[in-house]
Amino acid sequence: MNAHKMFRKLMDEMYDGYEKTKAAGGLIGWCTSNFPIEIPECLGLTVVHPENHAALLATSGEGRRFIEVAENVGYSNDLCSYAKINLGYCESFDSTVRNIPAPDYLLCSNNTCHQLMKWFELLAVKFGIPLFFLDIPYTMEGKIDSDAVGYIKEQCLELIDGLCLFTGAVFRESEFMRVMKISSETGRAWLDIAEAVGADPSPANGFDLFVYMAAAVCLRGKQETLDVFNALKAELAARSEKGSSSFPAKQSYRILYEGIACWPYLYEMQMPLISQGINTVGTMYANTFGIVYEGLDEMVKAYAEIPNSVPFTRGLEMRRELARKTKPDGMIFHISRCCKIWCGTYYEMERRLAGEGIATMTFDGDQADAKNFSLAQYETRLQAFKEIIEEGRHG
Amino acid sequence: MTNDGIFGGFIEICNSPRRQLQKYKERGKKVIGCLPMYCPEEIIYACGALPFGLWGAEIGISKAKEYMPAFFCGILQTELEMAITHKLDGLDAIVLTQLCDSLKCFSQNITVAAPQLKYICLQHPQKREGESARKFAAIRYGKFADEVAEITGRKFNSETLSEAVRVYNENRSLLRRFTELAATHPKTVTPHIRSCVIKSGYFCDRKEHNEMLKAANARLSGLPDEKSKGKRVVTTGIIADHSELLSALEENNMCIVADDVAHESRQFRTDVPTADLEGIAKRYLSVEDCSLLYGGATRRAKLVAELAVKHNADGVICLMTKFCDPEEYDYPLLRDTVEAAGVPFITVEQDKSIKQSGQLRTILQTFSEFA
Repeated sequence: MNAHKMFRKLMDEMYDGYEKTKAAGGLIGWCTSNFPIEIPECLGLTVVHPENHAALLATSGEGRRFIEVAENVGYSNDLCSYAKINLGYCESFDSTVRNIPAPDYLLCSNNTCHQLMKWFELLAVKFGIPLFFLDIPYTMEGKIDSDAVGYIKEQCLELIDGLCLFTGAVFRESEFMRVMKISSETGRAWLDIAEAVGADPSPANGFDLFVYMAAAVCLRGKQETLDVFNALKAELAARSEKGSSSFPAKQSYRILYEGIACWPYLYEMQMPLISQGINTVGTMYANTFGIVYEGLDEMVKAYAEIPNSVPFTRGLEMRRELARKTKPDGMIFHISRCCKIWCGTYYEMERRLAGEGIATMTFDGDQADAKNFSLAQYETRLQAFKEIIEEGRHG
Repeated sequence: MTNDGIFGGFIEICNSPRRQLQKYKERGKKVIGCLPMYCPEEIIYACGALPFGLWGAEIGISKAKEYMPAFFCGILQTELEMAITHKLDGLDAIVLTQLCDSLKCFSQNITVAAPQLKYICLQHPQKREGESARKFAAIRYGKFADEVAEITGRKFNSETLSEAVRVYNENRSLLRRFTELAATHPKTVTPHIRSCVIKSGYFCDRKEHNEMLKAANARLSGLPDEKSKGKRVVTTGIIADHSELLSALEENNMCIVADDVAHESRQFRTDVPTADLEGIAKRYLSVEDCSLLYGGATRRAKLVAELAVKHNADGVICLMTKFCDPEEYDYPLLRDTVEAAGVPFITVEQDKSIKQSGQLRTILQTFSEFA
C-alpha cells in the first residue's frame, strides 16, 4: 500500500473510530489542534478535532452552508470560519460529507489563538459539558522562560487529574512517556517530509503537505501515523533519487506559501500554479505540527513555541530559516481575513523578507469561507508575482 | 451651578489628554501608558509613576495601515497611528498586554513600527482558577514591578503599595457611587458627562481624580432625584466614548442606568482585597465577566441581564467594537440571555477610526420611540 492509501485509511479509521466509540457508550472529547494530544492519547481517550472537521467540510464545499447557519444565529462574518462551520454544524450534526459525534467534554489550549478559547467556551455552554482549558500564554518578547514552562506544566498535571476524574481513565507515567516518544518521532518524521519537499527539484507537489498534515494535526501520538509518515518519507527519497516528482509539470519556480490553506479553493489555487510551473516547496503552516521534544519540560516548550505563540522576531527567524533551507524564488502570503493571529504581522514580515531579496505577493482570502476569496484577484496577483520573479532573475 | 460647574474639570481633562501628559511631565513625573486591558496600575503608581490610559482616539488612520490589516479594531489601529506619528513620545514606557489575538499582534507591530518608545510586556494568565494560575500571576506581577522600577528608578515598598491600593480602591468606590448617582440624575449627568467623569481618571493622578469625584458626588447627592425624559438603558461593550455616540444618546434623552463597558465599570466593579502584589493579582483573577477573559461569556450575559432587570432598564445597548472578536463571540449568547429576561436589546457598531454613520442615530431614535 502506498503512503497516500495508508493515509486515507488512517483518516477513515479515525472518523469511523469516533462513531464506534460513541456507539459503544464511550466518551468523546473535542480537542483543539495544538493541544498536547499526548495527554488524551496516553489516557486512551477518543478525541475529535473540530478544526480538522471544519477544514474537511470547507474543502468539500459544505462549509458555506454551516457558516450561514452560524451567521443566522448571530455570529459575525469577521469570526473564525472554522468556528462558524463548527458552531453551525452543532445546530444539526448533519453533514453529507462526514459527521462527528457530539462531545462529552472539551480540551482546549490557547497557543493557537484566543478565538479557539472563545469558541470552545461557547461549546461548553451549548452542551453543558466540562471544558478542560490549558493556558499556554503568548510570548511577547524573547523566548518562553522557566516560569511560564512551570505554569503550563503544573496545569498539565492539574488537567490530567481532572480528566482522569471525569473519564475514569487511569494515568500511567510509562504510557505517557511512550506516547510522548511516538509523538516526537512523528513530529520529526513530519518535519523530514517537509524538508524533503523543499529539495531542489522537489519530489512532490508542495500542496500535498496540506493534505497529509491532517494526520500530524489529529494523530500525532499514534504509531500508525508514524508508519504513514515513514512510508511517505521513503517514497519522497526514492523519487528524489530517481529525479522524479509528483508535481505534474516542469518546476520552473519555487515558492513558499505563508498562512493557512484556503481550503474551499485548494484545487483552484493549485491549477494556475501548476500551469505556470510554480511549485510550493515549503509552508510554515504545515511545519507548525512538527512538534519535536524529549520529556515533559521540552514538550511544554514545544507547544508554547509554535509559530502562533511566539513574538514577531522569532516568527520572522522561522521563515528566514525555511527560506535558507529551500531557497525559494518567492513567497506568497495568504491574508485570511478571519484569522488575526496568522496575519496580524504579515505586512511587516513581507517587507522584511522582500528587503532580503525574496519576491513576495499577498492575496486576500479565508481559510474556510468561500465567499471571502476571489480567484480572479489571486490569479492576477500571481501573474504579477511571476513577472517580479522573472525580473529578479534577469537582473 | 451649571453642569459645567460641577463637571467642567472632568470635561477639560478629556478634551486634552495631551495637555495632561505635559502637565505631569513638567512636574517631573514619569508617565507610563497603559493599553487595554487589566494593567495593574497600582504597581505603576507605587513605583512613583503615573499610569496613563491608552484606549484609542477619534482620529483617522494612515500609517497604521502599513502594519495591521483593516480587520483589526479601531482602538488599536488609532493607538498604533499615534505611536508611529510620535504622538506618544512623551510617555516613558507603554505597557503591552496579550489578552486577545489583536492585542498580541498589536504588541508586535507597535514595537517594530515605533521603536523610539519603551515597552513593558505584561503576560497575564488566562486561566484564573487554581494554584498554578495564582502562582503565575504573582510571578508576572513581580516581574512587571521590577520592569516598572527600572523605568522610574524607584521600587515600590509596602508603604507606597498600600497607599496606591488605598487610592485606587477609593477611586473605584467613588466611581461606583458616581454611576449610581448618574442613574438617578439623568438631566444633570448626561451620557457625555458620565463618560467624561469616568474617562478623565485615565489621564490624571487618581488622588486628584478622587477629590474631583468626591466633590461631584457630594453635589449630586444634594440634588433631588430626576426623572429621565428618555429611555433608561444599560450599555455593554468595550468602549462607549465616541463623541457621536454620546451625542446620539443625548439627542434621544437616554439615561445610562448601569454599564458593562470594559473602559468603564469592568475597571471598577471590584477592589483589590489586600495591599500587596498577591492582592492586586487576586483582583484580576477574580474578574468573572469580561469578554477577553476565559470563562467570561456566560457570566457576562447573566450580569448584563441582571443589571437591566435590577435597574428597571428599558433596554440594553450593545456597543459592538468593530472587528473585536471576543465581543463578537459573546454576542448571540448575550442577546439571547438579555431578551430571555424580557429586556429589549439593540446593537450599534463602534469604530474609533471612523465617523459614526447616520445609521447609529436612526437605530437609537427607533429604539427610543418603540422600545
